[in-house]
This record gives sequence, C-alpha cells and structure tokens, in this order.
Amino acid sequence: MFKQGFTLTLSSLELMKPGERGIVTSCKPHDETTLRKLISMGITPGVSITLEQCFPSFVIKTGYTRLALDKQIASAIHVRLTDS
Amino acid sequence: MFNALKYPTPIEEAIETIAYLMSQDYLLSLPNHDYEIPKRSVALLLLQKDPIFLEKVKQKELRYSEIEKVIAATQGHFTEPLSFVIAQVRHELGAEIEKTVVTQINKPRINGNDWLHKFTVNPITGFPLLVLVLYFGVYQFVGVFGGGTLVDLIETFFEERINPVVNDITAQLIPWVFLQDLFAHEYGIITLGLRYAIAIIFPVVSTFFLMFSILEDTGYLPRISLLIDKLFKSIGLSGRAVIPMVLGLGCGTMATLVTRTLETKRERLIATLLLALTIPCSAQLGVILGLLSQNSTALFIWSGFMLVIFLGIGILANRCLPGNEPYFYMEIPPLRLPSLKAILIKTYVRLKWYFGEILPLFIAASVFIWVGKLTGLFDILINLLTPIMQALGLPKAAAPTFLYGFFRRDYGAAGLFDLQQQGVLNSYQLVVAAVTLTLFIPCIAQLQFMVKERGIKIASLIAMFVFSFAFAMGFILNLILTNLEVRF
Repeated sequence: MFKQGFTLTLSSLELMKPGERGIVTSCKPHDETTLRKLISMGITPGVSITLEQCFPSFVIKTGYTRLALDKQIASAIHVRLTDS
Repeated sequence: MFNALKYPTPIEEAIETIAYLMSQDYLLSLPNHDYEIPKRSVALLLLQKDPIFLEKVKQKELRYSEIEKVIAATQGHFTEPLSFVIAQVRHELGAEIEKTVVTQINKPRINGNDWLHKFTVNPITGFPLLVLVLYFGVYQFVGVFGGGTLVDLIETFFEERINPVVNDITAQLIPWVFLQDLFAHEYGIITLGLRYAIAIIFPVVSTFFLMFSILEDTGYLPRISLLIDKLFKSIGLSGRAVIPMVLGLGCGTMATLVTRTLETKRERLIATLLLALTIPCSAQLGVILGLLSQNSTALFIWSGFMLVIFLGIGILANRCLPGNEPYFYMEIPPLRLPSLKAILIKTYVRLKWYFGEILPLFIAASVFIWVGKLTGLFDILINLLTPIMQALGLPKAAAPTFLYGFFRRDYGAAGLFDLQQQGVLNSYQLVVAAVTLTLFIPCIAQLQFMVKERGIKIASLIAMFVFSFAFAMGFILNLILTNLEVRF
C-alpha cells in the first residue's frame, strides 16, 4: 500500500470547526446574485480563510476582511483544510 | 505587457469570435457624452451573462443565435460559471499587482481589539451585551432621559414661560377669538404644534439619533446583524434588516427609506409592514415609555404584547408570502472608537432632515384642527370614533388623540401624554391606548414614503390592514384585561 505524504481533507465551510483554516476550492451558491456577492467580497478559489465562529452566524476572516455569512451561503463554499 | 489581463484560452477565443459576429457598436450614455464601448468589453459582458447587454444584443444582432452558441460552448470548458472564472482571473492579477507595489514595514495589527470583537459576537456574551445596549441606549437614554427628564424640563418651560406670553400677545394683536385660536390657546400653531415639536419630539429624537450615530460609528450595528440573523430568518428577514428596524425605533419614515438596502422585494415588503405596524418610532417610544414607566406591569404588558404581534405578523408574513428566505452576508468592520465630531455632525444632519420633514406637518396639523373645530368637521370625526373608543373601553376624551394620530403617530402619542397628565385614563385604558396607538396607522410622512418606495397599491393595502388590525388588537387586549381582571 502506498501512503501519500499528506492528507487531503475537503469540506464545506458549513462543516468546519471554529479555528480551522482552509483554502477555497469552489463556490457553488444556488443563484448568480449570491455568486456575484461572493466574488465582490473576495471569496474565490485559492483564497485562504479562517473560520472564527459558526453560531449564530458563520464568521470568517480572509486577508484583512472579516465576513459574516449564514448557513446557506457557508454550505456553498467548499474548502481544502490546511493546518491551523 | 507585465500587467496584461489575459483570460484562459477558451474565453479569449470566445471574445474574438463574438466580437467578429457583432455588427453594431454599443454606446454607454452618460449625461454629457456618449462613449463607445469596445467590442471586447461587450463580449466579456455577454460571457458574464450581463442581463442588460444580453437584451440589447438580442434586439440588435442578426447573428444572436450564433453568439449564444459560442457562449454556451465556452461555458462547457469550465465547471464554474464564466462570470466566476473571469472574476477569478481579475482577482489573481489584482493580488499580483498588490504584491509588487505594497511593502509591509511592520506586521499589521489586525488583532488589536480582537478580544472586544469576540466579546461582542460570541452568543454567550453578545446577547447579554445587546440587551444591555438596548436597555441603556434605548430605554434609559432615549426613553427615560430624553422622553422623561428632558421633555419635562422643556415642557414646563413652554407651559410656564412661552404659552402665557403667546396667549397674551395674540389676545392683544387679534381681536377675534376664533383667529386667536389659530396661533394660541389649546390647539394653536405655537402653543400646540410648535410645543409638541420642540418640547416632546425634539429631545426624544435627538437623543435617539445621537445613540444611533454612536452605534453606527463604533461598528456595532453589523455585529447586531450577525447575532440576530437566525432569529430574523423566522420572520422572513435577514440580519441585514436590523439596521432599518433599529432605525425604525428612531424614525419610521427614515427607516422605510432605508429598506432599500435589503436584497429582495419580499424582504423589503415584510420590513415595510413591520415598520408600519409594530415598530414604535422614538417620539412614540419616548412618550409611551414615559407614560408607562411609572407602572411596571403596564410597561411589561405593552412590550410583551408588541413583541408577540411583531413575531406573529412576521412569521405569518414569512409563511404566506411567495418567494425564498433571504440570504445573509455582511462585512464586519473593525470596532473603532468613534470620533465625537463625526457623531455630532451625523446627529445634526439627521435632526435637520427630520425637522424639515415634520415641522410643516405639525403646523399643518394645527391648522387642520383649527379648521376642523371651526367647521364642525372635527366633531363629526370624533363622533365617528366614539363607538370605537367605547369598544376599546376608552373614554371619549381619547378620540381626539387618535385623530391627531392620523397626522403623526407621535403627535397622537403626545396627546396621550396630556390625557395622562390630566388623570383621565386608568391603567387598563392606558395600556390599551398605548398598544392601539403604537400599532395604529403610520404617520403621514411614513405613509408618503411607503407609497414612494412600495407603490400606491401595496402602501394602501398595508395602511388598511394596519388601521383595522390596530383597533382589533386594542379591542382584544381590553377584553383580555377586563375578563382576567388583572390588577396593576
């Protein structure tokens, strides 16, 4: 059996735990408007985000920006977890 | 070129093909000049499915179907929507430029007030903090200090120093009593209209706007949105609606205007309805808190009943209206110590706007009352209201108060204040009158903005609903109170 040197954990933002960090792999919201908003807030694949809190809303930090999102939008953002 | 914006090959090829297929030029019309838009930009807009340009091109181009096919084929190369792919390329270039031109000398201190931020947004500490902020900010500062202490001070000054002087002067200048009444005595422009505006409305509204500016400039408002979003979802609103709702505690008219910032039509409609029906404006709030603060049970019943109606109507609206629940996303700015100057300027500008709106209405209301009393129209209307007053268990003397409420809710609330001072109302009647007046029809200015923002059809539907609902609720509350024989 081959063992890879690193593990690849993919998750939606909704399932991450507070304090975890990840790199956005894709955004798949239900409609174009939300997608545009995500883009304008700078959430695009390749961007590194940290989840700070998940209740009552999701609070993430990317770069110098802090954003609040609801569960629906959080579930549309997919990330690859990195070491926190 | 180092900074050239180059999209993935399928997109670049599609741009060229679409530009080739287009026969017309497209213009961007600005007030002083028309600008030609390069074909490359139009092609990019089409690839991003820009609705305006899709429509324009559809009407103008003979080979539109071919353009459509190119767009579809290009999308086939990517899993993400094209607009997303294009935005991503732009972001990457932006980040690259940033790297070459920005030098970080010191490590940025973004965690400076992190503990404070965490304290405000953690539900365990955040909700108690929110309650404290509302208690001290709205209840103590606006209600008790603004609506109590300051109102008493200015009112007493007016009644003792200004009204007698005005009455004397008009008595000397104008020989006819009916014309004296226009300016002086019980319902005069100066003795009633101006007195209400300066003595009752001014202190309450200025304390509210001062508090709101502070909340705004510290960056606390978005944190309220974040905390309350889940609760607001149940009434069909998102956390974003916190701003118009809190503003509605200040001035419903301004808040109705601010509902524009909400994302969907459905949200704007629910927010407008709740603002018209349940959210008391600061002038009302100040007067009602002032009235009920001596009687804690009355205050408790009023706030409980209002909360139940707010949630009940919100949940019903959320269930009944077509459309989806709103999304919530918001940037959370860092917490800042606000600048005193900025806060004072903001408060001043809002007050100026507010008084520009209400002073003419207050004066008009005084004039109307004068005309109404003179012609007997007032008596007819009061007679029409009397059976409703009886059904609510209220004295006949309360009818004029509701009539003023047509002009401004706060005007009506201020009238209630006078009734209480005269000792006409018992505690049941006080609560019933307070609830009915809070729910009652929005003031003329708010109605005007409802028409402007939502259209005449929706605005009149809401107004009719609010009108009948307010009296129905007053009736029910009176029934409950008298049947349960609550003592307070």
